[in-house]
Amino acid sequence: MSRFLFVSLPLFGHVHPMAALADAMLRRGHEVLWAGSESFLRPLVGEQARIHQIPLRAHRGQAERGLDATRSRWEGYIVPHARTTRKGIEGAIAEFAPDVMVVDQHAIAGAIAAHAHGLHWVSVAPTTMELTRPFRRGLPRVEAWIQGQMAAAWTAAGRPGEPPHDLRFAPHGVIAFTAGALAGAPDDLPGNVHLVGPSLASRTPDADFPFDWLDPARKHVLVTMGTLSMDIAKDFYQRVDEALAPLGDALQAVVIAPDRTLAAEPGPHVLVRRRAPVLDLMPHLHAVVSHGGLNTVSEALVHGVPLVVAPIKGDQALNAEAVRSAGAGVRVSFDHIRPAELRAELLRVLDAPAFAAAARVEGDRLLAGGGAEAAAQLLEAHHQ
Amino acid sequence: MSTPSTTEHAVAELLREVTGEDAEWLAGIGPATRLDGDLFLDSIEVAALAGRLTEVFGPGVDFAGYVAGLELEALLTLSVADVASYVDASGGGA
Repeated sequence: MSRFLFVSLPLFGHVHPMAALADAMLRRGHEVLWAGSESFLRPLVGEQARIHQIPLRAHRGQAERGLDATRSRWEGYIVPHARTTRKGIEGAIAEFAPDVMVVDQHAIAGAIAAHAHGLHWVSVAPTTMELTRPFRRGLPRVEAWIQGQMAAAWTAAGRPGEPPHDLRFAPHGVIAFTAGALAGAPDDLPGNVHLVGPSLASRTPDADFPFDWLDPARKHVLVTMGTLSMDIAKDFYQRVDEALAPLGDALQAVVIAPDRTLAAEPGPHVLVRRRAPVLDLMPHLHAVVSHGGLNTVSEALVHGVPLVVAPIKGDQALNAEAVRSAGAGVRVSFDHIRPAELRAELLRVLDAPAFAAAARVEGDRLLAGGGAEAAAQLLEAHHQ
Repeated sequence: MSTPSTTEHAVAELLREVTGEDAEWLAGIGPATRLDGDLFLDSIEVAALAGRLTEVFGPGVDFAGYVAGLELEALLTLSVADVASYVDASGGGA
């Protein structure tokens, strides 16, 4: 039996796969302690989990678009978060004396603390944002700027000199909750990475969803764009609305959207919902229109559903490109695609069976990774 | 040699082309319009723009190489005028 200290960020998509991994470690008889906010973590990690409380601090809002989003992710979130959590993580280490630290790639205070205490540690990539260091080829100065941000955090923590290596990549191993095309080009991955595939969310049954609305004679499309601010969402949803309008004979669409972002009366073939039971819908779907969040893309692919991806920020562009290159869907411009073109791309994905076939292939590659159980096995092996 | 404004106009038209936008969109673009902050040009569109700039202005224009040399701050503020200046400076004036 060993002790594992989990360090993540207060972000749902980041904690979710690590929570599945923590559960798997507990089932194997190990001890797990989380270092983080009790109020944020508790609903995600369950009543039984042990949490070393680090109070949540508000950080500056993040820019939503483009390279400005990259800048504010580091300057306004990752680095300040490292500064405000490092002491708490040190406290967790003192209390728990972990054998291994399990650290989100963006929780660099965990990496710094692991180094300071000479602990064995493993990085976790819950998203694809840092896995291949995507700026290093096309925009090398942006990659250098990120390195500078990490070096500044290292110095601010009182550590001498430069970080001994990239703080996003533990020398003892990297566990990535993705696989196949979504993981990026094999040559761009770190040598010690384990691609375990997604840890899919458990189903949350939605008794209110009108499954009997779905007409088996028509194809079914889900439109889901993640959580967007209203001003960004509105324009895109209106174009979606126009794209779908003349397609009532061919398909039905479930659109997950906030209120007032679509026309007051979309056609009878369009069902607008604030939320929907996505995993339960998947077996009914023929295509998904999405922003390209890793969860949505993974869920679609493991169900063999091809995608139209309109990436907005962060790793979404990487996921979109992976979907396109695997032939499991198309990538369109979130900002610039016109309704007619969006309609044509959607029909292309619905009509050509090759897209669904490629989606099934990628889905199988994701599932072959073994998910949280495989990650748990790796962690266990690390400490033997 | 063209005047900078001619090159700027040509750059704006290529931006319209690679984004698939229309004349109304084009009318809203001026020299100070930023590629990242205003137009939300993504990496695929930047690559397409680089390809078209080379086709239109000649092999001396390596926009992808130019962008690769820019610091984050410069990338955030990179404008239509900046692209046109680079094209002119690399001997690519239309």
